Amino acid sequence: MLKYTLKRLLRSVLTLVILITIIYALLQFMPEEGYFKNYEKMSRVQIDTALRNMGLKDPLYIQVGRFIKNLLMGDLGVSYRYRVNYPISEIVKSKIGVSMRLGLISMAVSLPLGMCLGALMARKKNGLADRLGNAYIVFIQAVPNAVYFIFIQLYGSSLLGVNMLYQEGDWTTLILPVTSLALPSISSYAMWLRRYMVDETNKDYIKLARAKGVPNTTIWFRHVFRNSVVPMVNLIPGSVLMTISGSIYTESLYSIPGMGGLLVDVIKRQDNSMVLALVVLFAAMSILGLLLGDILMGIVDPRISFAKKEGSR
Amino acid sequence: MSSKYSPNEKLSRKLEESVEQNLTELAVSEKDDLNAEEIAALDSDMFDFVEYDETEAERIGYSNYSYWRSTFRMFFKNKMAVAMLTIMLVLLVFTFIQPLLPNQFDANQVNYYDAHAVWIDVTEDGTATISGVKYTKGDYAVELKEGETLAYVKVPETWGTPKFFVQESGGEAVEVAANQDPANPEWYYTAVSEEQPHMYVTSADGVETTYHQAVWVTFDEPTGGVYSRSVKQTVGEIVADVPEGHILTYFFLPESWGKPNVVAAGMLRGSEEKELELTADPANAGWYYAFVPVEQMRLVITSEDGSLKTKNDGIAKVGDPMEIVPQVGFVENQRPNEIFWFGTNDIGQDLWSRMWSGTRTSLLIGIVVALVEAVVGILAGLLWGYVRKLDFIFTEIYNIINNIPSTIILILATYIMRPSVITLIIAMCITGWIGLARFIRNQVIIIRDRDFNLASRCLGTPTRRVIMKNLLPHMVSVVMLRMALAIPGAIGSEVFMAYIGLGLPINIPSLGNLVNKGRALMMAPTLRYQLIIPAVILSVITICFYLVGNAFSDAADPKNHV
Repeated sequence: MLKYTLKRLLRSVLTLVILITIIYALLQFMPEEGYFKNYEKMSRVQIDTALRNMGLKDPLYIQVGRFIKNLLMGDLGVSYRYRVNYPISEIVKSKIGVSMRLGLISMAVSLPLGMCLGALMARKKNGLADRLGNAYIVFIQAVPNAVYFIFIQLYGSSLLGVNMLYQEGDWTTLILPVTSLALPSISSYAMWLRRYMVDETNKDYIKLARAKGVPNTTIWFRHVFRNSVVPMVNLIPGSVLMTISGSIYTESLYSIPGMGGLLVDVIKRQDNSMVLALVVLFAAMSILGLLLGDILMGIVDPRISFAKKEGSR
Repeated sequence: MSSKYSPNEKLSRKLEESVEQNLTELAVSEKDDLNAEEIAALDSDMFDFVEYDETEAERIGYSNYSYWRSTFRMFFKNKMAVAMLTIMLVLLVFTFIQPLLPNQFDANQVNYYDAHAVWIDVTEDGTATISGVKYTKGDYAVELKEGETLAYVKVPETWGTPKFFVQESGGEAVEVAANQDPANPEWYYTAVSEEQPHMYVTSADGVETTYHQAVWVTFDEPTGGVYSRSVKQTVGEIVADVPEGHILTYFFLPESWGKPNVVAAGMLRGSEEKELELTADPANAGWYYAFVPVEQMRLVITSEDGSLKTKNDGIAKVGDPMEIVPQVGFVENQRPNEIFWFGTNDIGQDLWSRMWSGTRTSLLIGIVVALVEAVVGILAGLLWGYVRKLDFIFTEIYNIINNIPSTIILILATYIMRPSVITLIIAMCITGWIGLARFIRNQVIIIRDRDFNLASRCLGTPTRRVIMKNLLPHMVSVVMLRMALAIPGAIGSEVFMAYIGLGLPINIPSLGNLVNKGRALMMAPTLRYQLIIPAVILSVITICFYLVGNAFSDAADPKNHV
């Protein structure tokens, strides 16, 4: 287990380094104006000098090496356009809390609801609840969330009489963003739990338990539900960590001062250094989330072993 | 091994023994081996290798099972999916033939109001709508002189042939001839001169008229301006008993204003002011009327709580009927009507043709992305599964791509390249293929060494044929599902990219651009059609693809062909 964890950790670091290298290589092709606040007013010589001072004319490996070295010390560089010469780590620090709170609230809402819906759908397969739930899942999965988020914002605010945009300290303005974030999560939790539970009910040991005369409730709660929840555990750390990156779309729509909205902002202002820093940060979150998910699953389910089997490829 | 008490042994032993005995007896009389001449005399076919023969290979199964026939049979059993497929096909076909239909605007063409003519639509109760949008077909009916404006009028059938009256401001009304336009029989026209620009229309018997001697005041929310017109805007009869020296004035203000307070003042500053008494019009919700003294026509309107305030420098010259002047500017923000079926946007572009042009762009992106994903995914997956040396490289690529959220990759790729259709397609293709390749690789590894493939290989079947006939049918369902889901996925990504400012330039209409433009206008309820129409069409397309894809992948799974 320890060996596996270490190996995965090392691989994750490698992935991150490769990603940073790729981004730096690609940034060479970017227009230079993404590094300056007042690009139009500068002469060619000024631009070249400034680029050299920033170290952007150095060979690729030196740039990457410098970035990683700074990253290890918690320094993500400075912003060039969004807030001139302001450390990015400071900007990010002030935003993480907002995103995280929003994400955790929406997860606290969606996880129980999604689980209940999934269990209900699996329990009464092909019943009314199953059909309605499926229609809901199909709708959420098929329609781009860019579309129904707008309608939630539009009609939700007039229906509930709440403010359309987020305001610090007014909890009612959180209702709509949380709903927007929770709807797709509920559908995906419900979909997976239903699928795992239906698969589980078709297994032989459940048939045996039925034949032995184990009560139905016991079968559902002690066997089917418990075994189906295990694969769901895999998703949870990822979701928690990804709340930090926030939902890019939701935050920007409700102008919530979080990380997701920040990414959209800096893209619109073409701040190269901030885009780079945020992308690396988000990628790191996601990698860590997947890693934790796998490890957690190994802890929860003793049947899973990460050691290589004899004779397998 | 078997025990001597086993029933199998007890029963079958005797039988086996007798057969063995028989064989031994036969073998005694048989020759042990053949000599060279005897071998030469035998049929040479017996010593050939088994050769691979395409027609013989097909004959192996004697059932009349056909993969594709079963797939389609299963698919057409699903009524819902068939309905969705029909909608989808109709939409697809229509999207591509739409530019060939007659009377279509170009998607990027900016439409202006007609510079020399207006079209007036009169309803049963004498309400007239003046518009600069060309409703008649063909050219103008007459040559216009300098300073003249052509007025086309459409009246209800019960009015008969209308009578036209023109007058100068405050002058006498003169009847002019109402000519029927031969190309458009329901439209009557007359040329209105600059000197006598005011015009009204009556029915043949003179009972119905568009000239009501009243004023309708409305508030334009986007600009915050107050408009006053003598064109009737309420339905039903207007108030008859107007006191002498007063003008009947109707007010319509947004709901948020509550019941407005109106103060009337003279045209000179500092002159006497008078608070008006507003009465709610029972026949028209939201409308109030009041009698404005002729000497005090400058109005100051405040909302019920006093927080909102607007004013107007004198209501329309009420003695005059509607003024015939050409409208200026773009045909902006027209609600859906018979000329612009889905309305127009803020620079007068026809949303109907923009809608379909946008659907074409989005579908093109979706279909190309799905095809690239399928082709690259299948090829890479087969290589990954078949060529063991490549396994390491592909697994590393998979680890990298799979570890990073696809949205981030999409944003990064589009950020670095300049936004265009090609850029979006490339950015979406970077992430999509690897999932399919991974699935194909797993299937190849599972199926490759199954017995039927070993048999095929022993019979000398070429690898190409093993892949095509033995492997791919197992994957068709998943490949189809992935492709069908890639299309709505790509369309959704395009909408998302448009939102965060990395979408297509505005001169390439796409569903993302249209939804995004509509979203910016959603605060104005009257312009909401610009958001709702593209959103509904977008949803219909994506849901159709999703459901049809799911149904087809179920049908394409050989396990369901029972």
